[in-house]
This record gives sequence, structure tokens and C-alpha cells, in this order.
Amino acid sequence: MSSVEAWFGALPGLLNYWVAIILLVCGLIIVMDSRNLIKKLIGLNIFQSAVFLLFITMGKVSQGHPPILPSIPRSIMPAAISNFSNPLPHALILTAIVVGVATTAVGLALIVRIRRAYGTIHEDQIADKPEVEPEIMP
Amino acid sequence: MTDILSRHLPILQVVVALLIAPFCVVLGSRNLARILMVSTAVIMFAISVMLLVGVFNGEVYSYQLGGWAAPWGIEYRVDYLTAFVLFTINLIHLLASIFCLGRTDDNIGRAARPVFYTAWLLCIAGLNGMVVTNDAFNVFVFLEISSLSTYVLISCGRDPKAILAAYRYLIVGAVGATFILLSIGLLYMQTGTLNISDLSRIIAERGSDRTIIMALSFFIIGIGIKCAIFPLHDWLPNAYSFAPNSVTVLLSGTATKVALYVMLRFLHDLFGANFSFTEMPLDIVLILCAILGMLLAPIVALRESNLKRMFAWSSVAQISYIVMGIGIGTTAGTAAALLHLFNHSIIKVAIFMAVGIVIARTGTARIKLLGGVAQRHRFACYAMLFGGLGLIGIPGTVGFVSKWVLVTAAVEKGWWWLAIPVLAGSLASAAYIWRIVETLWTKPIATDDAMDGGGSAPLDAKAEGGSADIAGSKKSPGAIFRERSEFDRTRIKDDTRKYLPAAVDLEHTPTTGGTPIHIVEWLPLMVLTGLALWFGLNASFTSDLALRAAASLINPEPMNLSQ
Amino acid sequence: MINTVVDIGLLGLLLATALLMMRSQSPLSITILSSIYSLIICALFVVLDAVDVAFTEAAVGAGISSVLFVAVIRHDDEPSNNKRGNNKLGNDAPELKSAWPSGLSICLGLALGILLISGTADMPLYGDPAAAIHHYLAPRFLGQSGAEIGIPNVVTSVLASYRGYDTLGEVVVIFTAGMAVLLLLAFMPDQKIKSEVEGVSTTKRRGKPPRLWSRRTPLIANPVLKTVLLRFVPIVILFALYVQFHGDYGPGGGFQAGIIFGVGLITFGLLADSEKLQNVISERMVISGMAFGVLLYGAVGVAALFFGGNFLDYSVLSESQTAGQHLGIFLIELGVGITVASTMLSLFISFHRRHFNQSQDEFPG
Repeated sequence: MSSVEAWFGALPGLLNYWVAIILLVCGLIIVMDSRNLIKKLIGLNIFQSAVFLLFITMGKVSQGHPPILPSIPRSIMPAAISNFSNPLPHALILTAIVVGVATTAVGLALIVRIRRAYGTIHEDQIADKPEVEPEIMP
Repeated sequence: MTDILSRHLPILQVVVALLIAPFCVVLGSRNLARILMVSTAVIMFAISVMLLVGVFNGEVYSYQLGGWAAPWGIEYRVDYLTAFVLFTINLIHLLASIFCLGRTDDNIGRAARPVFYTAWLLCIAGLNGMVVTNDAFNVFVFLEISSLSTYVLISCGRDPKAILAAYRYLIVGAVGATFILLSIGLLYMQTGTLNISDLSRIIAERGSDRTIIMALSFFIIGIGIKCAIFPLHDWLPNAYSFAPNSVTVLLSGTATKVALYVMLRFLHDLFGANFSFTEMPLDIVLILCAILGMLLAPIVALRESNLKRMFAWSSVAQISYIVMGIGIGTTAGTAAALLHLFNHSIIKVAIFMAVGIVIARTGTARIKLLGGVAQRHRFACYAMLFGGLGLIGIPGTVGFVSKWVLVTAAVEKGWWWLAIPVLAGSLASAAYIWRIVETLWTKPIATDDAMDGGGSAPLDAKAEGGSADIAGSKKSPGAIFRERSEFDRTRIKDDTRKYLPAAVDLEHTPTTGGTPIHIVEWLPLMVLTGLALWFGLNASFTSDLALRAAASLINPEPMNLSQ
Repeated sequence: MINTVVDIGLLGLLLATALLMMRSQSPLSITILSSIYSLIICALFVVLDAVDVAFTEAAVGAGISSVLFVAVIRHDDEPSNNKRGNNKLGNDAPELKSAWPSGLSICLGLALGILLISGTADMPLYGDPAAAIHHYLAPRFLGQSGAEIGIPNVVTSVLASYRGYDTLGEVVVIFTAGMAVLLLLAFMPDQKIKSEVEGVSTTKRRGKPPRLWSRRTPLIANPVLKTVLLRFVPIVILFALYVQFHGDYGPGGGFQAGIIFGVGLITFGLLADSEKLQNVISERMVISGMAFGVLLYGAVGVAALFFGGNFLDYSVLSESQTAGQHLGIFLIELGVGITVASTMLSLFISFHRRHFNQSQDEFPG
């Protein structure tokens, strides 16, 4: 029994990082491989969120709490600091998530316009369209 | 007062553009937005000059944002290198934003102009932020500000492919930025800090491990995409050739250059030259990429049928020279890289301005159709030629100066064989520049028949245009331009009717030649050509600056904080 | 123990969803899977103590992102020059590829993955309190922010004060995206590549100035849904205000509140007809709101300069340091909320806008 518990206790180890890396690779494969522009963008989202997972995992402290202090004005005791997870990665990833959604929005707007111009959002079909030199530049 | 001002200079450099940008869209007036944009550019340039002067006087600016001391808060930091790059990009930005007031060839109506200027200002604010900051995560945030606005600026091009180019750049650029974010995360995981100076200290103390090696490799891939280093350059030719001219001008002089700066800063300051170049074989990797780029890109450029795209490929080649300088890694090599960064900015921006003027007047970017254009757009074409000579590196031009310094640095390090690809690359660029000269100067003016493959005599109207040109050569430039453009308008209308689908509504496309080449177009071009001429003949100022900047990066002196 | 089990379970779900997404070809199902993925990763963030991040991920990944994707996918009522008649966006993609990715990208991906996993060997283990990151910057944030800033949510302290400048950058990113989408979808004339004619035509339509609320009929017409959802709108908005002003004390803050507020208005936009919504919020207000938030944030920074501090140094804004910090954080969170809410509204409207007439001369509003 105790050995099972010990095994479980040691288990997360690097697992979170590995899963984050696998997700990162999945996202990258979708981005590289997909011919549908929307799917490409979703692949990008997976890719980014894998990096977010990596950041958040490194901020975790075992048996820790969310970094919200129980008592407001007083500083917490130095000994109690290790009871809280690291707030800095959280702040960074909040920013990064926002950056990610901003990129997604711009990408989607571009997709809408590609569709209006080419009538399709599939890269193979876009490639079928006549090759045109950018010659009207009045 | 001046004291307070000088203390806040680093933050003002970024925040002025950042906060004026929303005003452009709130006011909603095109003219007000123009005034705001140009005055912002002037202010930013003035600030960068002040910073440069301050740095020359021995100050190292360190600015604590929010009043929090460095590793806890975000720090802005200006040393020689920073001031040098700030000066370069703000100079280019000033001239580009003046140029931007002229003829536009983008796909946005008058109503949207303020929004376009907003994106423009945000782009340059983001780039400045990347340069000034001394915080790794802050680099990412400002990288994203500039990237997002770059995507939308590129998509403003008239050709629908501009949107496709913007989308592809968005995907590649976002992957690159996320790689950079991942690299920052790994660094933070191993060191616990985000401040670049702090990171460099801790990495030097604790030594490297696999995680830091991973961080370095991801950083190189990510920033390599943003710099368009040779195998990662795929987005650049499309983005540059389909973007509006003013945007191409801005990006070619600033965006890749700032990315190169960030690379230099991270490699030397953050990871440490010892780790990047001695422990890791990064010098070999960079030099290999550079050699491939400087040999292959000109060959592609030579085969390119579109003038703008050709020069975009030439940018890929020229970036390789900068990368080679970075790869050499010594003070002299870095100085060569910085010198070429400055010199290439000047000449390539001048070239793209000249190309923009020609394209806007003739309505085409096809080299085949531009035969004999030099007879009418003499100034623009000579500026293009002069820039082209700089790209080759003819003695007496800025390109020669930086390539000479580069080869000297290579020889100094004992890698004399690097001179061979540099020379070969220059010869290859001579080939495509010669092709331009041949077409623009010696080919007969393109006619309908020439378009179909057979050369024939110029039309009467065009002969008239030519003579007007000769007659006008003694008049004021404005008069010449006016006559030429009048001629061009008839030419382009005939041409477009002939070559373009009937669907094109000529009445609603902005008239091509109705207005003369405006002062806002030839003035920045003239200034840049003048600068290129001056710094080509008298390189002591720029090379001294580059050398000091490189020295400040590689052997940082004890700090003399002005905070 | 239980934490570990939940962690591993969620990781497994994440992987399964990602694999399904790789395999799926229909944009709509990928979008739905992506919102499921977001919810799972959001739960994982809660397990990892990142409540603020989880909140944001829920609002962004499962909320706004999915709304935008669906808006683009269902945007199929435009006249299309594609020859197929009832062409649904993305669904017309020919099945050129097998459902699974090609060999090359798998190889590349595997190579990268193996390289990366071998690089994890030197990483600190999950939850290791001895890891470097817990011993340098974090103790100061956790230990001193109570005294220096005086708010319990340390993430908010870091976000809004210690690294307030990053957050300014974040607001500017959102603003940039708003402007970009506006420029792309509202202002640019459409281009079309015609398959018959070799060439490009820039069609410019003249007509009425663009109206933000061009859809006259409400998107949701079902009376049951309408009645129920309409009751929800005020609650959602109230909740947004709570999140906005309670962000100092619990998870939440300007960004999350802005999204929720935006979602409230979007719901109203889905239910009400165009005139009604236009009475509530005009186009000009939306655009000004986007700019106003950024300017409010910047103004706080500039005000600090005038009070003799550094940019964004809130301590100088009031007599005592903590009072100044409170005031500064309140104002900048408000700025974040305003910009985000307006941008979300603007994004939604832009993506739901029909193919509309392009005006050359008039600025909206």
C-alpha cells in the first residue's frame, strides 16, 4: 500500500512537462500540416496553451494554495511563503493568454477576408486560383 | 526641468507613440492623424538623438518602471548599443512616416486612414519597446504589439495576396513568438528571474544545463523567424512585396533590424558570449546560415520578375551579412554587424522608397514592363541605382564600408575564408543590380508589343514624355515631376486598360499620375541618399558609433547609472 | 494524492482532446473540441493553483475564442464566387489529405518532442518547493506585497503594479487587435480574384456609410431562448462589475471583467434587434471605449510622472504608498476593463457584420 502511495507521490514528477511538450508538438503538427486555415489557427492555439501549461506547472508548489493572501495588511511570515504557489508565472500567462486571443482575432479577420477574396479557406484551393502578379499598384 | 526630462527619456521613447496612437483613432480626422503621426515621429527621433548624446556623455540610463527596483519590476536600459539602434530605427521611422504621407498604394479608403496610422504608430512603439527594455518577458509583449500591427499593415496591400501573405506571416510569426515565450519560460524556470542583466549573471554563476540549451535553441529559432535569417526567411519576400510601399519601407528599415538587435542582446548579454559561442556551436550555425543566405538569395533575386520582390530577396541576402557579423562574435565582428545594420537600413529604405515612387507612377512592379523608366523618373532611378551599388559594395558606398569591416573582422579572427562567400555574394548582387540597370536604362520603353514579348519603338506619347523630360531637366524638380506624372497618367491608363481585366474600375482607383511627385516623397529619399553618400565617403562617425556599441555589448564597462 | 490523480486524469483528457483535434477535419467540430480543450486546461490551471489564469482561460479560450471561431465558420451567408452553390465555409474542403497528418510533419514533430523531453531532465520536479523560481522573486511578491501594495491577491499586485507595464502592453495588444479587425473587416474594400478573368479586381462599393448594427433581425429568434437569456443579461453585467471591483481580493480583475461585460452586451446583441442595441451603445462609443481604456491606463502612468515618480509609479498618486497603489490599481483595472469590453464587442460585431457597403469618405459615428 505504502509503495503505491509513494509511487503516486512521485508520479507527477516531470509528467506535466512531458504532456505540455506532447501538446506543443501536436499543435505544431496541426499548424504545419493542416490545409484548412481555421484549423491552422486552432493548432496555433493548442501550441500556445501548451506553453502556458508549462509556465503554470513551474509555478506550482506541492500542497500550496493559490497566491491570495488570507490577511490583507500584514505581511505573511517568511515560513508561510512556501505555502503559496508562485504568482509571477500566473501574471505572465494572463498577459500571454490575452496576446494569444488577440492573435487569434486578427488571424480570423484575415481568414474572413481571404475567403471573400478567394472564395475558399482551403490552401489547396487558394493555390488553384490564377497566379497574379501584383501589377495594379496605382 | 531638463534633468527630469532626461531622466524619463527611455520611457518617453516608447510611451509617446503608444499613447498618441489611440488619439489618432479617437479624433477620427485624417489630417489630424497625419499631423499627429509625423509629429510623433519627430518627437521620437528627437528623443533618440538626446539619448545618443546622453550616452556619448557617458551616461547609462536605467529606468525603473513603476518605481520597482530591477529584478522585481521592469527595467528600461539604454547603453551605447541601445541608443545606436534607437537612433537608426527612429531615423528610418521619421523618414518613412514622411514618405507615407505621399501617394499611397494601399487598399484602405480615406475613412480608414486614422486607423492605419494608429497601427503604424503601434508598430513603431512596439519596436522601440523591444529595444529599450531590459526585461525578457517585456520583449515578448512588445514583440507582439509590433507583430500584430505589422500583420495588419501588410494586409493593407491592394493585391489580395497581401492578405494571404499577412496570414502566413501571422502563423509563422506567432509560432516564432511562442518559441521565444517558451525560451523565456525555460530561462525563468532555471533562474527565477526575468531581468536580462540578472539572467546573465545567474546563468554565468550556475552554469548551463540542458534546459538552458533548450532555451537557447528555441530562442534562436523564434528570433530567427522574426529576423528572416536564411532558412527561416520564408515570410519576408511575400510580406515585403505585397505590403503597401510605405509599409515595406518601414518594415525593411526597422522590423528585422530590431529582431537582430534582440538576438544580439540575448546572445551576448543574456546567455553570455561564452555559452552561446564557445559551449554551443552557435557561431558555426549562424555563419553557415549566413553563407547560404548570401549565396542563394541573390540567385533567387536574379530570377524574380517583380521589382519589389527582387529587392525583398536582396534583403534576405543582406541580413545574412549582419548575421555573419553576429556569428563572428568578436567586438570587430559585432561592430561590422551593427554597421551593416545601419548602412543596410539606409540604402534599402532608400531603394524601397525609389521603387515605391516608380511603381506608383508606372502602375507596375514587373521588371519586364519597366523598360526605359529611368528616362522619366531620373531621380528615383538614380537613387535606386545608388542604393544598388551600396548593396553590391562598390568602394565609396556604405555597403563597401560595412563589408570591408566585416571581412577585416573575419580575417582578424583567422577565418579569412569567410571573405570568399562575401565576395561571391557581392558578385551575385551585382548581377541582379545590373539586370535592373539594363532594364531601366537601356531597354526601350515598354509598349504593348514589348509586353507580349517583342520589343518595338516607343509610342508617340511616350516619346513626348521623354522629350519633356529632357526639356524639363533644367527646370525646378517640381515642374519636371509634374510633367512626367502628367505623361505617366496617360501611360498608365492606356496600360491598365490593355493589361488589366476590364473589371478594374479606373475611375475609382486613385489616379496614378495626377499629382506630381510630392515633396514628402522625394525629400526623405533625398535625405537618405545624401546620408548614404556621406557615410560612404566618411565612415568615421558610423564606424566609431558601431564600434563603441559593440564594445559596450561585449565588454560592458562598470555602470554609471543616471537613475 | 487526490490532487495527483486529478492532475493525471486531466492531462490524459487534454491529450485525448488534442489527438481528436488532429484527426478531425470539420472546422465546427474542431472549434467545439477546442473549447472543450480550453475547459479542461482551465480545470488543470485550478489544480495548479492558478485561479486567475483559469478564470481568464475560461473566459477567453472557452468563451470569446469559440464565439469568434463559430462566427467565422457560420459566416456563410455571403455571396460567394465559388461555383458550388450551398458552400459552407470550410466544409467544402476536398479531402485531399488523410485524416491523420502526413509523415513529414510527424517526423519533425517527433524529433522536436524527443529533443524537448530529453531537455526536461534538468528541470525541477513538479511542485518542488526548492526550485529556483520559488526563491528569488516570488518571496518578495508573496511576503512584501501585503505591506507594499496592500491587496490580498498577489497575482493582481504583480500584474498591476510590479509588472504594470507589461499589462499596459497587454492592453495595447488588445487595442491593436481591435483596430486590426476593424480595419480588416470594416474599412477595407473587398478584393476578389476572379477565376474567369485573369486578374485582380478591387471592387469598391459606394453607398450608405457602414453601420455597425447592420443585421436587422436578431440572431436568436427562438422565444424561449430569448426570454431566458434576456433575464441573464443584467446578471452577467452585474457579475462583470463584481469581478472588476473585487479583483483585488479574489481571482478576477479588469481583463476578466471586461470579457464578461462584453459577453453580456454580446448576448443582448444576439437577442435584441439592431435599433434597440444601437440605442444602448453606439458605434462611436465602442471605438472610443477601446481607445479610452488605453488612454486611461496611460494617463495614470503620466500622472505619476507629474507627481514626481517614475512612469506607472502609483505610490506617488496619494499621501500614503498603499493608498496610491490602491488608487492606481483601481484606475488601471478600470482602463483594462473598458478597453477589453469594447474590443470584445467590436470583435463580435465585426465578425457578425454582413457583407456591407463600403464607404470611402465617412468615419463611423
